[in-house]
Amino acid sequence: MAVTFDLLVIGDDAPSLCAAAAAAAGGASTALAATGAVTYGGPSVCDIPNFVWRRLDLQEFGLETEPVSARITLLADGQTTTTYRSLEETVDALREVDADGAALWPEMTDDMRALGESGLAAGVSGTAPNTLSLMSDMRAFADLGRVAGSGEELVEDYVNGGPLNAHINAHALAPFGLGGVEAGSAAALPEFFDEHAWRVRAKSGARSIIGALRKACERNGVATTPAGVEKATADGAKHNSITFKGGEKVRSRYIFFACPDAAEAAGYGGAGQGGPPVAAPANGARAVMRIKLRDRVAPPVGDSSALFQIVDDGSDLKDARAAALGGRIFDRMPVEFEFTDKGDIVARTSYVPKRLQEEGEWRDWTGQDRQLLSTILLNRLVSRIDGLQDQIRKTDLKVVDRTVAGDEKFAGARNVVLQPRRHDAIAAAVTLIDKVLADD
Amino acid sequence: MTDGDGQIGKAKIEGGVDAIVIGGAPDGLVAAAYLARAGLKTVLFEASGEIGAPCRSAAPEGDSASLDGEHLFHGLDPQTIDDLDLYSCGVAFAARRMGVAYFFEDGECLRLGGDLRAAAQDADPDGDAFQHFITDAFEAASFMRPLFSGAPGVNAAFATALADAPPRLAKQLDRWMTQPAEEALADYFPEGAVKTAMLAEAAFRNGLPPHEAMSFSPLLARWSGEVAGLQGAVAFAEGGAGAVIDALRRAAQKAKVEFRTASPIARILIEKDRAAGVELDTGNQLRAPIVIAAVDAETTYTELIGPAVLDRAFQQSISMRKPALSTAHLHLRLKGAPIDETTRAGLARRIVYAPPADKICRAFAGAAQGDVPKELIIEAVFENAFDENAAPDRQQLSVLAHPTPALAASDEKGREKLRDAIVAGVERFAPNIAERIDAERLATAADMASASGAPAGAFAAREGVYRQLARAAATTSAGSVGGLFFCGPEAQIGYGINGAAGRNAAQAALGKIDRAGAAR
Repeated sequence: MAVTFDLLVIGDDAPSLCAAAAAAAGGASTALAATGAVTYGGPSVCDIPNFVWRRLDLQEFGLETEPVSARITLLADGQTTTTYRSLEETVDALREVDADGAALWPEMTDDMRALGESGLAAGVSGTAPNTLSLMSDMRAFADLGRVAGSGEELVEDYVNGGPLNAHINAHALAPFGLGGVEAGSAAALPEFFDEHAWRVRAKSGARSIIGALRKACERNGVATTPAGVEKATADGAKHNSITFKGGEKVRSRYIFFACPDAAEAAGYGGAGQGGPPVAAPANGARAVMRIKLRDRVAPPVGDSSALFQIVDDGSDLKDARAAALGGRIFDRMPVEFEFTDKGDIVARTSYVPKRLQEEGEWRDWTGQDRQLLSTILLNRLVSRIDGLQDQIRKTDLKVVDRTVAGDEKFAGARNVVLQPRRHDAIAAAVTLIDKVLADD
Repeated sequence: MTDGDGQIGKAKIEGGVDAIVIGGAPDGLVAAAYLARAGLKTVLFEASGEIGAPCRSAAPEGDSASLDGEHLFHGLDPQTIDDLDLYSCGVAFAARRMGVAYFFEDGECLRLGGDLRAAAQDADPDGDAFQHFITDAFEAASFMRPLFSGAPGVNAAFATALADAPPRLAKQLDRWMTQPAEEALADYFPEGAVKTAMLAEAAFRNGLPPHEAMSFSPLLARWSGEVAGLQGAVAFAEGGAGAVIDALRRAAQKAKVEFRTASPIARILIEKDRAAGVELDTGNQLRAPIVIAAVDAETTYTELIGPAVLDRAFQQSISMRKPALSTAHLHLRLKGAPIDETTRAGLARRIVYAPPADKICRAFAGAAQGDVPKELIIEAVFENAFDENAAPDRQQLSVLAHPTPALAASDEKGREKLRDAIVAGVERFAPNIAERIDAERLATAADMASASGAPAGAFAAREGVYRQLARAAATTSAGSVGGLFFCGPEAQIGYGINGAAGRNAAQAALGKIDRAGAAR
């Protein structure tokens, strides 16, 4: 007879591991399933908030993290814009290149954080119990109008064009594949300015974040299932029966995806249920490329522990999004990248078309398309990283997409919960899983 | 109240009026009628020479009273109909529960009856899914009706009702308010005719493409309304939509509203943070303790009041950017003999061309970039098929096409391309119609703006409902200016002639008036 759990978390990444460990620590019988697909994590993850750290006593597993040093945007013609976790440091850095931006940054940060704390902003971005229930608060209406609008418009309330505008948009919107003109894309901004959105890396020499979180899962009694769900169907009035590739089965009340990456890797194509997917466009795929180098290269602006974005100018995101929707591989693809401890590079982009269009007909990806995308991504990196071209030893590209309609694997399942993509994915996933279990 | 007439230089100051309504659009007429029926001496100012004139310009001369952008009714506030006794003022529906014929790219056609609940039961092959969807969507839309009505103070009551609602319904509402239409429909339908038809319905006149967040909510707003006593129905008014404006005018006249046409307002007088009347372009002033603005928010607050009086947060909340997309209207007069009874019966329905989902998405993307899409969602009505008294000697086709880009009125090339795209869409269900066109008139958002004197943004497609609610809350708050009320297009959730915004503004104004008629 299959073992029965309250919760099956599917995923290999930090938000999934945190959610599973936190649920188990909270008393839920929890199983964890690897997706069974190749995924490339970068060296950084979003911040692990104190309430998660305390609940899991993460220091006991040798986890030591430090914030990513900076958010850097590499624009065309060698221009760069840098912001830091510290407000003062950011203002000092901006003052040298953009006096107006430096003056506006504190106000924008305060406003965005206030907007993030407003009930409706929380509702629209998925953490409030029910967005509509908050509508009795008339003050919240003004906030609602702002977060339900476009990211471009919200940024322009503070910074009208220029490198800082492109920088904010690139870091806030590019991870979602947004062009900045979509309704609700503004909700990404308050999230982006939240302190839990700042990414962290494992300290040099410390245990890896994923390794420490796996230990936390073990310690809290999270069961491990085989990798790769073959089929999930409703079983009885309240449960699901989940069959894995080897034929093994478990039963679970809920199936939980802590982030769309896990859902994509597992082949779940249903809608987000952990709140509205305001900042996550439904059409489009993501590509992750790992680049192994023969020898280390000098990182841009001499910083190897920063999070970088490549855009030529402010219009890139919009154009890239339009190209992805139109089934084209955009040659000025926005690219996010970071260096690993070993000096390799992990690059990502969320502006990849789900399917391609040729002479009005839609078709699937081919090896040639992958080669083209690979070349474009490499060219983008080579254009910003001195000496990279000569050091590339091996590249590996993975394109993952999320089908809009429910995938057959999970078509018969009930209580499938998916946390939409967020900047503060760990805080949001643990908050959501607590809510799901509390509501049960 | 004012203390009588007076003169400053050559300008005249006039008093003795209780309320002023700016704008002869339907909501202005409704507001004026309510105020006058309550015993207030009410003056309505209209900038053009005729009440409702800007709305009527789309038809070639001599054709029916089709309005720019409004040829059918999806919702007409039932309370306004009752309170103003609009049926006795001339409102009549030639078709109450119009059937709809959806045409698709492959030439197939799906015909549904006018009562969607009943039609869903009979739909084939996706009947079960359709029935499930309509039941859920109508339940959600009914529940949302109070919130979408925009009535002042409804929010707290709505929150209470939501807390008492079945958890399943509350959760569904929460999702639907922010879900992309594609995703919401994918939860119910396999790929097929019904899904394509519903996607076109969700995207039609929507400012958001169906793959983007919040693009499903406008369909809920539309289905929250009722017309001729049936939720989600579509009706054709006898004499066209212009006849409804005539009925509203008659209701206002009956209540003794004084109309002053060809009287553009230069500014709203504000004294001690209260509206005190209006000043006309001529410099003459009319003073009154209540002013209701039934023109767009930008005109009301930026031009007629001015930023000096309004705080920054309010200005920011009303200046939210609107979508660049809009809906164009093409009115066609066709050559050929008058239609016979059999043909008339066949054409007496709402006709929709529903392009495939990916083409709708591309149309939105293209239109947002300023390009005229090759494929448009088309809604067409053969007006003579419903109204045999309307120009019986000719056939007329009123067509709405969506999404269209923001074309300048002077962009002849763009207009020609748009006209051709609309005609190509019409040919999907009426082959070779291009050869039968005798006369035509295209009205884009720029044309409507130019005719009405409002900015083109006032004719932009509707945004997601959250955004509309936020804009409505901001604009109807009137920037905390006492005695000022607002029922311009931003006060209404959803599109079309409805009347609830005018009623809400009048009732809010009446609530501030004591029995003696003095402003509190």
